[in-house]
Amino acid sequence: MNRLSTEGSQQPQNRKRRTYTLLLPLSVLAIYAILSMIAPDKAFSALKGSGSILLHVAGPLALVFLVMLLLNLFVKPAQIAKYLGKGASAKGIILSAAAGIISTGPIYAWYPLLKNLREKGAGNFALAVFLYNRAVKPFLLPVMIAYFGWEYVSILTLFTILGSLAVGYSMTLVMKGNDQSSDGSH
Amino acid sequence: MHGSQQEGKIDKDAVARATRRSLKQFSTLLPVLASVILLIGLFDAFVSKGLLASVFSGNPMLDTLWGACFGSILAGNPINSYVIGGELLDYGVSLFAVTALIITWVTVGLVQLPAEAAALGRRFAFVRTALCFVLSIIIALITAAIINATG
Repeated sequence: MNRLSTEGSQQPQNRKRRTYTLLLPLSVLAIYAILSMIAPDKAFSALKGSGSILLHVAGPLALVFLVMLLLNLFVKPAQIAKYLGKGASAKGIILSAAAGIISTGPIYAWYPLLKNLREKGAGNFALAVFLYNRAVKPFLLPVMIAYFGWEYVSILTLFTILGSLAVGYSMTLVMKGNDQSSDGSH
Repeated sequence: MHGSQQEGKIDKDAVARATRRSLKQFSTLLPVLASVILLIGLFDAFVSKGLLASVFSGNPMLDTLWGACFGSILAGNPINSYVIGGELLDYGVSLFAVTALIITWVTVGLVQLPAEAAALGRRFAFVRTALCFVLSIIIALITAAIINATG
């Protein structure tokens, strides 16, 4: 992605995003404030319930931070993403899937980069595999495991990665003639 | 990979940068997560299991479809889908519905569809969204069936 050309236009977008991010917490606090005046017992019960959920996720959240730190230290998603244009070879498939798994941040932040990669030849297969594999989040696994257990998380992760290939191949078939890269021939 | 390692040693600046970036990511994640947890508290206090049972009837196909629909409409950090899904399980909602919700939360984004169409083309965005929706239902059905059979 051309950072210089996009940074300027992203500033108002970031401000807008921050406003939206604060909108939900403020609305929820307002609901609690109103509720504590109308039905204090219910408000307390709701707060107590939230407290127990928070206790449940606090430990896994600490692990989430640690994994996030390691990923930020050793992996640069933008560098990995350049392999999205490598076609539907085994290497291309693995790299597209890995890029999706490693990618962090909201998807809308990735669209300018994906658009740029597409213009440089990244195919439908690679892009679809990348986007589907964003459902696999290594740094959120502690929370997921805390809720659903190892067995479930392992099976779901495996099927998600396999599913990404199915989406990739289906995209190639459906979009035949519309693909700009070499993997369109598959 | 980063240039953060030199001769086996980790660069202190790289660690500081990674820590700052992680704190920033974490701080953007927390307000919404805290709000979701507080909303679940409200949900817990006000929504009866009977009401949920009227939506999620226990029919695997219908539950999966409902879960996929909710997951496609809702968006945000996937951690919120895990918390919501985990609490829905406690409410007795089936694993079929919860799994479909978790998968579609990230793979199908109706909210982001216009942005995806603008970046990657309308045809690409619509076809991918439709394929992901269908595939998520299939994955949810298989995953939940395996877990139910083994668990």
